[in-house]
Amino acid sequence: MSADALPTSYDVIVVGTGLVESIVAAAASRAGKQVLHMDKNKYYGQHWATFNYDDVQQWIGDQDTPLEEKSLDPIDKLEFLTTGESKRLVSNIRQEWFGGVVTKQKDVSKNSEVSGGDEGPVKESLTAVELKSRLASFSRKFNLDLAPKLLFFKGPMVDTLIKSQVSRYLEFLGVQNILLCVNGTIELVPCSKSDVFSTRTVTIVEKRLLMKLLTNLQSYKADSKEMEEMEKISFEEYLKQQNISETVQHYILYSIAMANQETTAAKGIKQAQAFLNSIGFCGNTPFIWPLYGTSEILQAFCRLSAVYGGIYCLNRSADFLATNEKGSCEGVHSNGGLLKAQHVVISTGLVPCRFVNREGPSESYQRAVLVTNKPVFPGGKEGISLMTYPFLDSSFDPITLLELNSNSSSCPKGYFVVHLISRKAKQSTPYEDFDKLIADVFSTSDDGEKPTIVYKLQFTVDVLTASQCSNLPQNVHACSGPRCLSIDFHSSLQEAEEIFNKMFPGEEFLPTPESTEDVPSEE
Amino acid sequence: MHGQKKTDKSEAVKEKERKQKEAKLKEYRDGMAQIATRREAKLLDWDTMGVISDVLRVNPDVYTLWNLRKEIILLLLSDDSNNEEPVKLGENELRLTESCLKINPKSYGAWHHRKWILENCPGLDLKIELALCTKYLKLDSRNFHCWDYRRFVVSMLDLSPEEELSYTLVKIEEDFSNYSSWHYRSKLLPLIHGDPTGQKPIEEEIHLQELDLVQNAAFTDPNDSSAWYYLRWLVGELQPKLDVILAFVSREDKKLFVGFNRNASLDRVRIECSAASRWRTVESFEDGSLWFADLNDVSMDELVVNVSLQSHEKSISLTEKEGFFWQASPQFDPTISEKMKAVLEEQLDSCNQLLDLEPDTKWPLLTSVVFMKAIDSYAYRDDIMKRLESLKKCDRYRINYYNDLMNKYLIEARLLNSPADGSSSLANLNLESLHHSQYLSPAVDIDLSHNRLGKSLPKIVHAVSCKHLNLDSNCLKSLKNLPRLSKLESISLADNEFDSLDDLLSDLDGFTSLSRLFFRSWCEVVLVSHVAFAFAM
Repeated sequence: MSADALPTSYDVIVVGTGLVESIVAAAASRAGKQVLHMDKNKYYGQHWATFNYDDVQQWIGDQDTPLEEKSLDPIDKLEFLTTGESKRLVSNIRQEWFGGVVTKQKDVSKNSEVSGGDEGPVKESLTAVELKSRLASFSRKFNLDLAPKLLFFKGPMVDTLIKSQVSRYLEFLGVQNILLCVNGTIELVPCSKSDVFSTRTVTIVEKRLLMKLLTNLQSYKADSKEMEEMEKISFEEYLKQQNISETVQHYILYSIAMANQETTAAKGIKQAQAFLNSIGFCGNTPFIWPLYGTSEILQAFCRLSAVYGGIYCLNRSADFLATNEKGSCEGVHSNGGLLKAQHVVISTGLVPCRFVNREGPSESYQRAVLVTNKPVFPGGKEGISLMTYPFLDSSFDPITLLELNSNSSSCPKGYFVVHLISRKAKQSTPYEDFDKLIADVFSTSDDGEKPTIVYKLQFTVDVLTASQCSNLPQNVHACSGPRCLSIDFHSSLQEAEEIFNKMFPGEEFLPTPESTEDVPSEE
Repeated sequence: MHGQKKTDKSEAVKEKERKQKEAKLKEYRDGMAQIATRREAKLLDWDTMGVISDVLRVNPDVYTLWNLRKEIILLLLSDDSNNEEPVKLGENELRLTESCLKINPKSYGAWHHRKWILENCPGLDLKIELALCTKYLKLDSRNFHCWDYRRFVVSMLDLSPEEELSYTLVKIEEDFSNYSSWHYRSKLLPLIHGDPTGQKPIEEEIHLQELDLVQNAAFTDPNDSSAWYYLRWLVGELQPKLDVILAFVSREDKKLFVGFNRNASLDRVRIECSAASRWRTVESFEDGSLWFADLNDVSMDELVVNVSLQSHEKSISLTEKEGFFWQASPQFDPTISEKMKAVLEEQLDSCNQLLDLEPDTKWPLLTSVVFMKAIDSYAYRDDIMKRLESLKKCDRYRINYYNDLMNKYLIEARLLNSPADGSSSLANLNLESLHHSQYLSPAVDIDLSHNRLGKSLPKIVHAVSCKHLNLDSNCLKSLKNLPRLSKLESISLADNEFDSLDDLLSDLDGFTSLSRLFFRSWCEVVLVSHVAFAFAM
């Protein structure tokens, strides 16, 4: 048991490899602190993980196995860390396979060098059973995200990645299409000057009004009197006053500001600004996608931590928090031994039950991961598409749809991975809103232009936010899981920086490595 | 690389950079000196080429070196003993220019050399060059050097203009703020879709498509001038054709005058009259709107003047009965077809829509003025003036330009309505500039009072028949610039800003016929042999 030669004392022990945890681990190591980063899973990321197809099956299987009763004697002054995190937070997992027409792969064996498409794609029709085994045979070609997220090109996450040079471990792909689906019709949202120029969906006068409004939106200053006024009205009302057609209002409300009917004008303007400020640097959309999936981002931070001396232990659980008389934390018990630490950083899902308030306002989101055979919008550019599917009657919150193709390394050639995300709020039965979208956007037969779904995974995640954990020892810091309602990483980054500043006031958060001057600055 | 902070350099780094700079300078000077020596020694060989390359790679903008290089290349190619293969040599040169363009993508010398190489080293793969252009234009879609070069390569490849046209559309859709791309379109379209009727630059259907395209750009960003310039090309030249507007004989001077609606030069027009010789402009410039010739004999009954212009010829007959005088009714706006008028009206309508949304936008204001003038300058006179006033407010840097346009427009309106009694009045217009002054040439009485023509006095040179000139209230400080009108008998100069009568009188030296001067509204000065007698009135 004690055979593992881990040091027994640290500045920081980080339990869980979610994004916030990983950024904190990187920042602490970077600041010269001794860090131990552990995760009871064999993989990185918890609810941020990116899985191949087999891993997904494994993950679903894990949810089904009964909770292992820990027969450890509760020792005085020890707090059990909760187990079965996923089980408590993930619910309603459903998966289904459907028959359909898919692109035939030339060589199915894993060691083949399928460069694909030399002789043009050959289509074949498969039954649900056949498809199930087909997906399994391609397992490693899938990178399926539990919590897919994008980066604003000029957003704070990109700034942090560049400044800390964590960006060196990552590759990105620009999102190609911003789409909006209203009344069953999918349209390309013109969001840059060149889009507005080329689009045929709005009249020239509307083009002027749209461009004027886009410029106008960017002119609002945070904390100004004008913005204060904007707290009082909804963004939808604000747009209605702008003398623009309903179509254009929808573009701005749902796609550019990614808001809904309840969003205040102030928030809508702020969100639109984030979007518009990132336009024009990487194609015509403001977003970039991390190749190989969202989990790459947190793994890159872990790598930085390791480069600066952080110790990494996957597949290792922390069992107790050790607290002393003064109510502060001494460290964690793992593998029967005490690992001491000045600070413990821990996923909210692992925080001992008695500190967690699950009564108050919480947020939950629904997810679907679809594997399909065609793009949802064939008229767009080849590549990643981000679509919003609003419900104009406010019966549900808007659904965010992210479609990835093989370029983004999410699936084999000829397949598409479609992520659906929505807030769990107004549905009377789970995934009721998804069903509506699927009926609109996808087809069950392969006759028309619409794609068919060959695999569907749905699950619901309850988010435990740090603010729901109270009375924790001063030196224990809880980290929220992925938040469904923002498409980017901003809130997690902010949370990580706050934790870091609380632990090490005055220290710089992820500064640029000194040796950068010697790093060849090609490109 | 983005996101990198510019840091204050430490002294050590600055010192290091200074040394690097010095070393670079020394290298450059040494190289230049070496080349000069080798050139003097007539060592025009590969070694010299090597030194030249080294210097050019550091500084691609030394024209002398590019020229010397060309000289050597021609030598190497013509020397049979050398056995230089033009293709290999050419490829080498292309590589050199490529590395130079990496340092300065807008190096005139490097781009020119590249073009010269294609012309002088036959057999190079032009397809590669075209692909390179596409690559460069992806990096900087507004590099006009590269656009120029591309056009050159395309002309050598004899590519179909259709392909290039669709390429320009791709570039415009990426970012329409691109003069080069629009310009290229204006060169390609007439090749593919020339207008058989010759009224428009391109055929009807395509013309409408292009108007739609440009309208989309204008409404997306009305402040982007590139699209507006393209629109101006599309609607064609909106000014009347060069034409002859008047002709008359001055019998006492034995001169024949011929006036044009704008400046003409003898390489563009031909004036023929058997009785007249020595055609020249009144300003004695090569180019002018009022031409005259000497008449040997003024006793004839009729004089025929033949004028050949670019598009047509005109034969003018001047007869004794009509006082040897002919004048066309003035026309300052183009004659446009009904179809074109409809197009312009539609375009004007979009400008107006834009202006409804944003009243003070320069390009729609200015373009609409041009269109209104072409459609019906008289009907739109108030709108034109209002818009010019708005332009003066929203584009203050060009306030004088708009003033000038207003002056021109006011003068045109007045000339269109001037009486045919040999007098001309441009009074009370607050003019600063004097356009169309050739129209004043036959007038005996000219009233230019109540303007601000101080800077435009030289233009009065066209008033060749003028006997009585009124320049009252023109903020004049001096008459130094007033042309010596030989027939001028009286001049009125009241309410100006002259320092003294004496200065004024010395300025009036050389007016051989001048005898009466009205200096103040209450004072007439009679000049007798250059001695002034003032009478209070």
